[in-house]
Amino acid sequence: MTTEAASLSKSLAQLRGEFDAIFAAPPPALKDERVSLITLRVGSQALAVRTLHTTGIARRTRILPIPTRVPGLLGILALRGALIPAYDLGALLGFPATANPGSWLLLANPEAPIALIFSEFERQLEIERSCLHESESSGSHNHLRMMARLDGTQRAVIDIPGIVEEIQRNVAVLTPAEE
Amino acid sequence: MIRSWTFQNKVTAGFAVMVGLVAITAAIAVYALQTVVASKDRLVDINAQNLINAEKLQAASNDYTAAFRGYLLLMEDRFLDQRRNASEAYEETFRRLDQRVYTSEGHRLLNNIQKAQTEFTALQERIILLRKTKNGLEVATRAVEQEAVLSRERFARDLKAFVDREQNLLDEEKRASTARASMAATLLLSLAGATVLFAAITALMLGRALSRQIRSAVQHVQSSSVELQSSVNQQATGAKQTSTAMSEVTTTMSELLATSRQIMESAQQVAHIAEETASAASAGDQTVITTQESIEGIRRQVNIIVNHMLDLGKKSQQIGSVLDIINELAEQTNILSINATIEAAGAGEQGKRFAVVGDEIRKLADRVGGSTKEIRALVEEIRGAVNTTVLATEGGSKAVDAGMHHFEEVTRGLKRIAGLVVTTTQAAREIELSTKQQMSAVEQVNSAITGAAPASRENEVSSAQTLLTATQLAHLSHDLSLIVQSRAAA
Repeated sequence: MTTEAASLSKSLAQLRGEFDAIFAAPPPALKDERVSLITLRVGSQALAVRTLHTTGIARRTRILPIPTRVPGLLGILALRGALIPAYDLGALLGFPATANPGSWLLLANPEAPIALIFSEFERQLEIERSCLHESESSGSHNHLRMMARLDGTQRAVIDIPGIVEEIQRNVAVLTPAEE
Repeated sequence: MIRSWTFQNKVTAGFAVMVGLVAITAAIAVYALQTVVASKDRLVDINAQNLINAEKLQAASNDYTAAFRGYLLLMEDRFLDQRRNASEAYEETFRRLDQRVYTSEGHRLLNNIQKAQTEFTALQERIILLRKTKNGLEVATRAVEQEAVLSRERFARDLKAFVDREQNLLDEEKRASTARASMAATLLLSLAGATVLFAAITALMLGRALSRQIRSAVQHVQSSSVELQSSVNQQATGAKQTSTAMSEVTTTMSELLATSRQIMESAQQVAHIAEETASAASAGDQTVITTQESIEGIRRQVNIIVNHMLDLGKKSQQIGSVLDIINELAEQTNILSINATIEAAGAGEQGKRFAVVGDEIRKLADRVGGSTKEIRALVEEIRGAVNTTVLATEGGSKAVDAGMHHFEEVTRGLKRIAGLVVTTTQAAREIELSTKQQMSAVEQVNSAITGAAPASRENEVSSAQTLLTATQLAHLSHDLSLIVQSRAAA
């Protein structure tokens, strides 16, 4: 018990020291050769997105369902004072439909924000740019053509801009033209 | 049943049978004699008399015929008188014969005789009348020659048949009488022989029975004398052993006396120790009461510990709730730092430094989340330890209760021990008293045994005398056995 208490105190002191060191150290040099990724799960699939392709991540709030023919559109939700359409990310990736799409949302497209609902948030990390590469499989989904090597495993990277473009196309098809 | 008779019964029964047989023999002899006499009497009185009367009848008939012939020749009346007298004699003789004849054949023959006599008489009457006529002699002679001779011959033939018949009866009666006499003589001889044979057998059986009974009695006496001799031997040996044992008993009684004294001293010590044990039991009782109060205090303290441990469990649950809040804050901080990083990346070159700070904040939030997990694990361990401690303390409380119960039993046991010690003290005193009485009794027994020693020696001498008498009795029975066996062999 005494040993565990000492270990806990040591961890606390280390945290405090690292936090203080951030402000004590000079600004770090920019590292363009590294890429920031957010790892997450859509259904049972372990996937990743590039951090720069998102505008935010949050717990899912209540979604108000609306009647629509837009593929993957679940409804609208209120976030940071704005009404945002919420899409089922798994449905847009072609995964089988589920009753509960997930409890997390990912914001994209800062001009006309949309929320992509997914199952579980894992973490945010940085990898070498060289760890990103095109998928070698010809049968890959259109939005999962990039692969990232993380800790010795390969994980598909979701093409968020491509998904945004697909949504915009779907919406444009269903929106009547202005006279 | 006869085997169980006494010798007197057997002798009496034998003589009674002998007397009976002699009486039967005498009765049969008398009966046979009377039968023979009766047969001879009938032979003499009837059959012989009939023959005599037949001769008389023949003589009377001859006289009757001679008187008839005399009258025919001389015509004198005296012949008629003679003829009448002869006829009466004939009638008298015939009447006797008729009375004595006892067979139907005899009566038939007599009737024939009587019929021939009647015809002859009638013929004579007619011839007599003819004689009284003129030329009566010639007529009468012719009538006699022609008729009377035939009638006379028929009479003679019938009379001869009767005589022959009577003669045959006489011969038969003689033979029957002789046969009866022979049979009676044979029967008497048989009875006499049977009586003699029975007498011989009875004498032989009585002799054998007497010999057997005497021999059996002699054997009994002999075996009894041997047994008596053996018993007397054992008695003599026992008397010697008794004398020896009396000496040993005297010695043992002395040792018993010494042992009784030791027992009495031990009983006194036991009584003393029992009194000390009673005092110790009282002190132990007080100690148990003090210990019982201490255990009661322990039980109260254990209850307090249990309550404190339950409070500790509740506090640890509250710590868990606080940790949930901290964890939630760390997660939100993490999300905020990620969003800050995204915003910084969107801010271009100016935001990159802020992105670094956001990244550090994210790392800090990650580590806070990890620490909260560690703290949660520790809190869970604390809660488990508290639960275990509560259970152990409750077990201790139960153990204390059980200890209290056991101490109550110990208290009762000590009280019972104290009671038993009092009883033991009383018993030890009673043992002491009894041992004193036992010592007195042993001394009396010792004195009595000392007085009994001469009696045992006298008993030994008496046994030797009895042994001598038994030996003499055995010799006597042996001599008697030899006498009886020699007679039986003879």
